[in-house]
Amino acid sequence: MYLKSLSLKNFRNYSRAEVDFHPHFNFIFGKNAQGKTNLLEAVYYLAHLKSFRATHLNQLIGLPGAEGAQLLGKVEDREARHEIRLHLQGTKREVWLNQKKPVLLKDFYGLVKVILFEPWEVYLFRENPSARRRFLDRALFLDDPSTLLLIREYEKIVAQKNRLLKEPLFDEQELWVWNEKQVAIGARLLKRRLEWVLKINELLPAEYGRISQTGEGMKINYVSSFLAPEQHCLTEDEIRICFTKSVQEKNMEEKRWGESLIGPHRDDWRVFLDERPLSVLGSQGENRCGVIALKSAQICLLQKKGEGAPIFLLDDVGSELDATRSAALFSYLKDTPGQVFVTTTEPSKISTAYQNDGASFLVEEGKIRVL
Amino acid sequence: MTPFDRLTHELSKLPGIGQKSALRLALFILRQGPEYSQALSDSLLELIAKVTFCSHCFHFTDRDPCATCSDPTRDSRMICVVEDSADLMALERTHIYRGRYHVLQGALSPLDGMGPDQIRCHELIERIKKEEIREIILATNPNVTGDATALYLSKLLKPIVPKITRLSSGIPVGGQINYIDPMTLSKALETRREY
Repeated sequence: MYLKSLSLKNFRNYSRAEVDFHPHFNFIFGKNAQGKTNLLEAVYYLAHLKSFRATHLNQLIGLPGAEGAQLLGKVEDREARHEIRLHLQGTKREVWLNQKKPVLLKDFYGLVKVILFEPWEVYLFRENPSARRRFLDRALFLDDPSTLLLIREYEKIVAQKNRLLKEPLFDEQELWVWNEKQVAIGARLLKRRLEWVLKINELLPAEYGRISQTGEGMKINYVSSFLAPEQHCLTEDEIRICFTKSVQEKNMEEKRWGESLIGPHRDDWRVFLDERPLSVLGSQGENRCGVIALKSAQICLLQKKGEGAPIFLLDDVGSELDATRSAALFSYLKDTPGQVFVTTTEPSKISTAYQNDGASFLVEEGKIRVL
Repeated sequence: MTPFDRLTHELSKLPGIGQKSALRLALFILRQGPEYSQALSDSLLELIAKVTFCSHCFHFTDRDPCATCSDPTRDSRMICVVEDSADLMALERTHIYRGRYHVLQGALSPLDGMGPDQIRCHELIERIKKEEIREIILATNPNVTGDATALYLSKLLKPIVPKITRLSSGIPVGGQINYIDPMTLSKALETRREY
């Protein structure tokens, strides 16, 4: 599956742009603040209907008051061709898939799979837990788009429960209701996360080895706020029983803090190289390789499911990877079948050998041209 | 403020009506002439003067108790609990249910300031204590707040009502299984029944 072409109208700093992409490598060069990341954002938005950096829809629209923003993407998936058209105006978003309005969860999500690498993610293992939870939930969505419903429902329940806990006076029975809901949906979400970690851990050592050229085994340890590590293999029902018990134990504390203190929304995960925690004892280079291994393991996971390789967006890789590591990365990407978009300010960091195996573009002040 | 602006302003407060639609409605009313405006304003005033909430079920009515509560052919030992009057009317259109209703006028949602005291659940308990109720049907919406409300009521009512049921959720009639989202479908599987 790859993005064959993209046309943008009034999207970010692109007043009008039309571009055909290469099925494999696409290099996007340009100075800072010219619109390279905006282009990746457009591709990401086509797949997820969500931006990785804008918090409001209107931030994506170039000139306000005009026609709104339009995105048109043509996707080829083996024999099938799809046309995705988006119109963003004010706070409204309209989606057409092959000239029809799709049922998002059934027809749309999952059609274009995208994996994004942002420069800050090399610090993912040292970031605060909420960034890692977000990563995990995005990964679950990529693996199975229907998880989105579960994640949203769980977030709603926790928000309701937290609001109730902040009330000066409330009915115990009402708290019981939100606890029951939290435990039922939370156990299901936690089970999904644990299953995903199990699957990704099967692939991580090999992926890390390929990227770092070392023999150390990389793995993720999920850190639950109420389950001990040896309980991670429990069934959903068993998790629910443990969760219920822990929520009861934390009852007084939660009331005192006015906030829900345990559950998937308070969990975390850590990365280890053999038995060494990467966040504390890992070098900067190991952290970078670790993040990329995590992304490539996700690509493997999708391929194992027979879904074909996703589109891999790498924003500003050069800035965070040294020459040897980026060379290793590109030789790895060369063997990966999916479409790759790379933005960088320094064309010299990318060997011409790869540039010949793809297309190169120059972005200047919201205009894109083929090199 | 001109009379025209005043009307558009009032209309734009209605749910689902924005500035543009309010303007269109106001222009329409203006073009209809005085008779229509008279009828419209009379009907609004009459609505406010005559319609109140039934003291039994809290559905809106122009006489108390309302028509469903005072209908002797209905089974008074069954109460169907709904979130609002629109849900009651939807259930009435089925012509299947012949029991009584109770309109909560909301659902539990701390984020919207809706707690047990805001929904009419104390009134429901009073009613159950006074009347002899055989079955309570929980017909709140199958979403986060509706489910929470159903769970709350079920816990509260269990000691005083012999039978509590919940509307089942799943595949819509005339639907196709391959068009149904996984969440609904798994719900349908969970609540499948002997056939």
